[in-house]
Amino acid sequence: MPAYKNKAQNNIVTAEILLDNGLPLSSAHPAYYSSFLLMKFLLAHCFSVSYAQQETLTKNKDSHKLLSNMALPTMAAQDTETGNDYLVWYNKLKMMRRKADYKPVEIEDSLLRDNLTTAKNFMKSVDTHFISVKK
Amino acid sequence: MMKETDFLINALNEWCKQFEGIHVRYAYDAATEYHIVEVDPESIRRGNIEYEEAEMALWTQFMEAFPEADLLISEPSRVNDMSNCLFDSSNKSLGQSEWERFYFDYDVLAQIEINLTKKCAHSQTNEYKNVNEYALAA
Repeated sequence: MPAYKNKAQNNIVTAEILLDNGLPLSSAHPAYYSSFLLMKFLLAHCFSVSYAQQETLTKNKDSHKLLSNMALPTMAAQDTETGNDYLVWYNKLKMMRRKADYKPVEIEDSLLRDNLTTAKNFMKSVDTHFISVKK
Repeated sequence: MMKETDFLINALNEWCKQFEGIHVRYAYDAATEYHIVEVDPESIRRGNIEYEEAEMALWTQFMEAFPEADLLISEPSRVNDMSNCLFDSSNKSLGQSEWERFYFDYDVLAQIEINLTKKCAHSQTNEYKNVNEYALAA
């Protein structure tokens, strides 16, 4: 299995383990990274932007912002069934990660469980509409 | 920040004119540096193709105009910190639920009218009866 997809799936598993073992706040970080790494995989394997090109394009820049601005509108345009939800899910995950990682706030466990569901929905939809189609 | 805010408020004002029954709120969450737009009802957000196209257009235009800024357009959610609300507006036209309430109110009013008519007729009859009784007594 290609490395980035594997890493993305491992991040989902990590978030689940953290949630189930009393570290819910820490689950926001891998939940977000699962979507970011999956997007990198998608760019390389479905949208013809190789990992090397991604490196070059994002050198000394905000790679997360640049790659998501590149991938998300294309994903929404190509998969009309899921459409705008890719943009919603990705940004929900990113916002939650910022809250959990950098801000001195408490976040309800149920919201962090919902956050993991969002990450799983993102992965499932990408798999169904892009990766499985490509095989 | 001001430019992003003006851009979004202009676009959201247009949505409120364009989509009957829509309710839109916009806040800037300084803690996460996110511009957050909440849209309801869900029947418009994910049931109206024209709205969904307008949402996509707003995402794209915002990304092009402000590539460094972050935007979330979602359903109302407890996760979103809307305390710094910069815009809150609705399209005041009657949506489906409002029409249902209107019909309900109309039914109630109609029933009140029937009851009043009955009561009125009843009191008129009594009045007529009383007048006749007085006449007979006289």
